[in-house]
Amino acid sequence: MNVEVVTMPTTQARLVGPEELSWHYIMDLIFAQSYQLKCQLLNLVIPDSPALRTMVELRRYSVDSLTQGGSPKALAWCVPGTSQVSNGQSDSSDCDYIFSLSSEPFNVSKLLSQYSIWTYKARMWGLGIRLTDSWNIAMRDRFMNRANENFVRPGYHPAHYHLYLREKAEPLA
Amino acid sequence: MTVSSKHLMDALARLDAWLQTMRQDKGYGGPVAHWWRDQFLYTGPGLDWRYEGILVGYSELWTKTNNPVWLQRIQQATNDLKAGQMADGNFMMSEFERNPGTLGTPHEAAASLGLLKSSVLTGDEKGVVAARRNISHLISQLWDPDSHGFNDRPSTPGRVPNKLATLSHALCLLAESTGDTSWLDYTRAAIDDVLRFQVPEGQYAGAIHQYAADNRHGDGRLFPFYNARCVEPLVVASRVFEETKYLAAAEKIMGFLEHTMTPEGLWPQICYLSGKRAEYPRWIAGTADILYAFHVMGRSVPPISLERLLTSQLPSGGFPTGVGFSRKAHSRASLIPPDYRDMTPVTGWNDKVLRLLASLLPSPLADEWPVPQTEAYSHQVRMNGHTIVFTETAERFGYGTQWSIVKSEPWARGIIS
Repeated sequence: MNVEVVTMPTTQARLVGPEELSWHYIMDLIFAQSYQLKCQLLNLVIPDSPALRTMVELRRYSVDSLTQGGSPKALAWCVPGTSQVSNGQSDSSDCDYIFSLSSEPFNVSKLLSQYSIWTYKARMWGLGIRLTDSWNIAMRDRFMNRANENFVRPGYHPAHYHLYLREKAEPLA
Repeated sequence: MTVSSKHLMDALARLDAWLQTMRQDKGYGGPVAHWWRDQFLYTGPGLDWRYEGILVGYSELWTKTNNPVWLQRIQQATNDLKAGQMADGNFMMSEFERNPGTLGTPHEAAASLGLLKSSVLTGDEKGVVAARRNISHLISQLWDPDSHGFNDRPSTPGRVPNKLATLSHALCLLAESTGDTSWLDYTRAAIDDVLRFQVPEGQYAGAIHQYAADNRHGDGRLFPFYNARCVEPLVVASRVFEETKYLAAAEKIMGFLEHTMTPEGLWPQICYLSGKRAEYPRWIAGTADILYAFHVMGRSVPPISLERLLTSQLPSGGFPTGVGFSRKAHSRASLIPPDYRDMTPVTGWNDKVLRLLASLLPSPLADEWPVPQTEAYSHQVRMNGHTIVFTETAERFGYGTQWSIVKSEPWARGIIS
């Protein structure tokens, strides 16, 4: 699978803590699903960040010698708050699959999958981690495990990020 | 139960057969279940601590049997690490449960340790070269001249003693392999930091704290598993520096391990200095590193614990990860049926079983090496609130109808539910 990367300057938050973990999951979900769809090409549009570029490079290494005989192309638009339609930096018209990352939920036709990442439930348990951090490490560990358990959920849940996978370029509702 | 060499060989032959099912083009792969995090999406090779047990375990087998198969396994594993070594000396995919990632601690040092130990036996210098490049880079990234010690992350102060122990061990072996004693200054700094975080008194006297964010105070978390991983490095440091304080520290850790073993021969995940415990998950395959500490200290391995380990071996030849993953987040969750992470055999835990069993094997062997008997199996498990059927074959792990991991592929298939 070939992976092409386009970076866009954004005000992306520094990748630490749950923000970093979110992007690990986002990249894993995109690569896993692209691999499953036997994509020949994955075109990634990501915020310009050294940490993100490293994440992509490592995942590219995992698939760079693999050919599955498929021909589909996928576009993964991972710059929340911007639109691939209006931006014009990457043409989605010849893509068979499109990943969209959003901070807001939206209705999409031909939806193949949807994930909610860094759910508010996980954030609530994260608050517990911070509150107990200095005085009850046993409770902190339990909160940590609850936060991890709820960090990513399939389908729609209130969350910091929503990752959609849909077939072919269709205008967003 | 008396464990005969025949019994050990049978278990090892089956484990080796299972490990070969986990190979991909670039190394040993598979999912990861762990205390800190799980990774069931990326299932490609990990150049992490699994290579410590694989290289040391196969080196033991090579030494004790002279069977060229084991030498081929060593050469193959060495080539995996060399091929996955980046220009700066790091190994690709070296963060185990956080893979894909790099600069994994203690994973890169553990893999280098494996290279150094196996190189001594095989005389293969390329392992030493790769390890030296790797450890040099670890020093450049993690050494903090201000506090005269190793951080866990670049430019982030803090100590993780068990990881320092592994690094110290690798540095000792590097000094011995190269004859360059300048590595020992770093060794001394790393292993002395382990001693600084040993509990001096109380019910958990002798245990080593997990973490010291400020490099002064331990965090009060005492993991039996991670404590056990400090034992051999302390023994080696005692030999290299000819100082008994390291051996005495190892003896004290053994006291903690003996004190915390459960009646069924397993260990709690965490003992907190406050007196509380995180009982689960209890490791099964990972228990091998605790038993290995007994072996290194010249003590008999607790029979009940070794029996518990050996009888858990799956029909596939792999060893399950643990008991009670469902209780990580929910202390009253049922243990039956087991959580899917309990049942899933993980390469980076099974390597520890390989190292232990190969170390316990007597030499010379009186019996012929057995032909391994392995087979597919299915078992009911709990996965995210649902009871499903977990199946393992030589080619794949199946989790109900929605999720599967093809062992030859780097990414899992299905929808997380």
